[in-house]
Amino acid sequence: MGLWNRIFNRDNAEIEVCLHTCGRYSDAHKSADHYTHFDEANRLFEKNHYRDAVIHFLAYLKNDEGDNVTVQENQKNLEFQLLQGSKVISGSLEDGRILMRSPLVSGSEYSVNLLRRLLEKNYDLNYCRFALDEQNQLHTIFESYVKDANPYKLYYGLKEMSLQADKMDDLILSEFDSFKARNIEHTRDESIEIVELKTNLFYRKLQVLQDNLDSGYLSRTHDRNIVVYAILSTFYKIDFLLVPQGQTGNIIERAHHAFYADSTESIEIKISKLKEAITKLQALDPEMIKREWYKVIYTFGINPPVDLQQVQQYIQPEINKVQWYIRQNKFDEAATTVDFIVGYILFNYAVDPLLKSLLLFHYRITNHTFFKEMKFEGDFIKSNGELKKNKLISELKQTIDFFEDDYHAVKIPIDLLQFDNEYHFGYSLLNMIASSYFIEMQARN
Amino acid sequence: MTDCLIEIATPFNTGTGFYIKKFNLIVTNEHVVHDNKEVVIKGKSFEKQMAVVVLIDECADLAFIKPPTKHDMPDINLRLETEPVPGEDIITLGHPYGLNISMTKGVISSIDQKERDMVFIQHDAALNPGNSGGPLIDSHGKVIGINSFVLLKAENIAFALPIRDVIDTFEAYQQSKGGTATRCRSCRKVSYDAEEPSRYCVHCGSEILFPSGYHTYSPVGVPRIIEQIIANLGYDVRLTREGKNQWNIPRGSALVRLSYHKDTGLIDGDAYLCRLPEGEAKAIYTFLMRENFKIKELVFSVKGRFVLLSLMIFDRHLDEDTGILMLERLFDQADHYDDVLVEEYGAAWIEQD
Repeated sequence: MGLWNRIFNRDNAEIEVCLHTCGRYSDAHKSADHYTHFDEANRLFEKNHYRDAVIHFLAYLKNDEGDNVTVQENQKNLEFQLLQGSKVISGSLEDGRILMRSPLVSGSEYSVNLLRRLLEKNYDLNYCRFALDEQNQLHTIFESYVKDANPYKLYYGLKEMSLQADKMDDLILSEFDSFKARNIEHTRDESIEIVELKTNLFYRKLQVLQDNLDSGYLSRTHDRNIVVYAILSTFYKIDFLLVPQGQTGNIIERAHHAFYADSTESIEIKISKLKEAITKLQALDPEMIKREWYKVIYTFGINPPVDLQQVQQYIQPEINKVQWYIRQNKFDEAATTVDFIVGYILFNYAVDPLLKSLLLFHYRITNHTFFKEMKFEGDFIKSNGELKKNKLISELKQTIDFFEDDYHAVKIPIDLLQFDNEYHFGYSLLNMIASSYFIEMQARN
Repeated sequence: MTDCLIEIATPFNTGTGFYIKKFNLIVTNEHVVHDNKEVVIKGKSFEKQMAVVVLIDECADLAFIKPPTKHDMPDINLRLETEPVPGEDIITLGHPYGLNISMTKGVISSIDQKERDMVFIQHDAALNPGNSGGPLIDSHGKVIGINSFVLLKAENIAFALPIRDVIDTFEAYQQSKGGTATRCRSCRKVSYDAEEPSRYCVHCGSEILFPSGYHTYSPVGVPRIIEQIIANLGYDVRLTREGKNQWNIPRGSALVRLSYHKDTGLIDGDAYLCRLPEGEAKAIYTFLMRENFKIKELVFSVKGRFVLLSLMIFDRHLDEDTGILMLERLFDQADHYDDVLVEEYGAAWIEQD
């Protein structure tokens, strides 16, 4: 039974539901069944059984719920659809050719600068292209002779096309009012309660950040790095907990990339750009924001997969900073740094499910009200604000046990955890991860 | 002066050379032609072609190449009567990074810098990869040396072999009765493979190697298949090479650039069709975007001022037959579309320089 099958067949598996609903989708950690399909696709392709190879390849792409890929077979051809965020990718295998298209937007008039950008983008893309049909609909297209379409090419080609389709429509719609979104009928709205909860948390997080910048510890500090950490960690948290689509997601994504872009800009300029992003998020139309919490299904993940060792290499120097802040009695700064480290990892990397679950404990404690409002049962905070040590240890052990079958040589030193307060717990959680050892058995990246 | 300048390319390197009429030879650095018995040369007055390396002098970093049989290269002035002096203004000419002819200015810093038992002229003109083998010229347009090397991680510290050493080597080489020659690193005497085909210098016994003894470059793996495809399409593959993983194929008015990316396994074929029109570009952009919807297996794009038509091949299943079919299709479509873009959308032809 695949990992996600077990997840959804298990009662009261709160951590697993959190894993599924929070954070960015990743296709980097698939089950053994999936890899069997990929191997079979390769074997059949080598034997020139192209149609069957494509069918197995599509089975490999299915998520564990199996709701992201549909296939219609008939004698002459093969038709299929993939869901990728706000877009449906439609494909066919006919007359020895694989053709996949996704209409993105339509508009009566395409400006010269937009056309230029799309044509320049076509030069940078490896596998797919942007194209305009006679009805002025903009598409992404991937095609290949099936003889040249081995499973690796199909994977990279469809991934590039799908990610471009999912991103580009939001970018165009945010810049050009006259365009209409196409091909979005498959998205599902969240319930009114969830929309309200998410919207409230969105504004609450931004308000706390703004208050700290205006009159809190961030207004008094000369430590520019901590200002960066506070802003970015708030963005990462919004991205992870609320999973925004559309403009909200784009503003966060752009702010992150602009900050880490290789440029000669001073840290002051970079901070002012991050603050501009806060203003943009605050200025978004609240009704539009509510529409951006829609539910979508993905086939491809955007983040690169990393293993525990790579995460540990990132964590090690960062937790020294936390330790230094604690020694200086700068607890706000220590908490902000822990928040940033966790947020950065989850925003940038496709970590395996066990590691994601462990990191999630930090958010479950620092955002316990949100999780409670979202009807997750695990409440680890007493009414007096202290941490429920025994409950936390018990839940951590359950989580580790749950994943045990999918990992090799799991060694997680829970005894390193400290329960004095939230930031001590966060700091010790990172220390624990930095001292852990486990290998995912199906990882094939 | 630029009429005598020659662009030199091998599968491993690019550089510059210049023609000396008195010698009827092209002069360049040994490190530019290193390990090649023949190289690709291109000048203003002759087509790109293969040329034989006839002499190498590793110690002086000097090489002579046979010139094309038909050319209009004029004579070049060599400064033989007086020595250059520190503080004198100089210019350099060359093809940095394989670009068109570039000139840099500087001043002579020293005329007696010793390296590898040779005396070099030191100057401060900026030199980049591809400048090697180009002439160092005084303010009267006379050649005083050949640019040879720079100090890495230093600001514009460059060295040139004095022209008198070139004359000296040429006079020694004149004794040759055909074949190729090499100047011994140890005793500095010139040996000729027609007379002394030994691997050892007959004068001092040191190991020597003649240019004719170098192996002909032969690619392996995917580049080998690509070169077979290019050859089957009727091209001299040696003239299309731009390094080990890139090939430039002229086709009618278009230039097709093939690149193999070993890390991704992708082979790109970019046909440079035309330059964008000087004025309004919306019509041509709209046309290209609409054609992208109809065309199969190819893609229109824009890079800088150029319109490109490209294909992509995944290396795992590249065979000669498929490759030839795909490239022929790219060629045919490029031939068709460059006419349309120039005649109907005001695009400009690309000069094949």
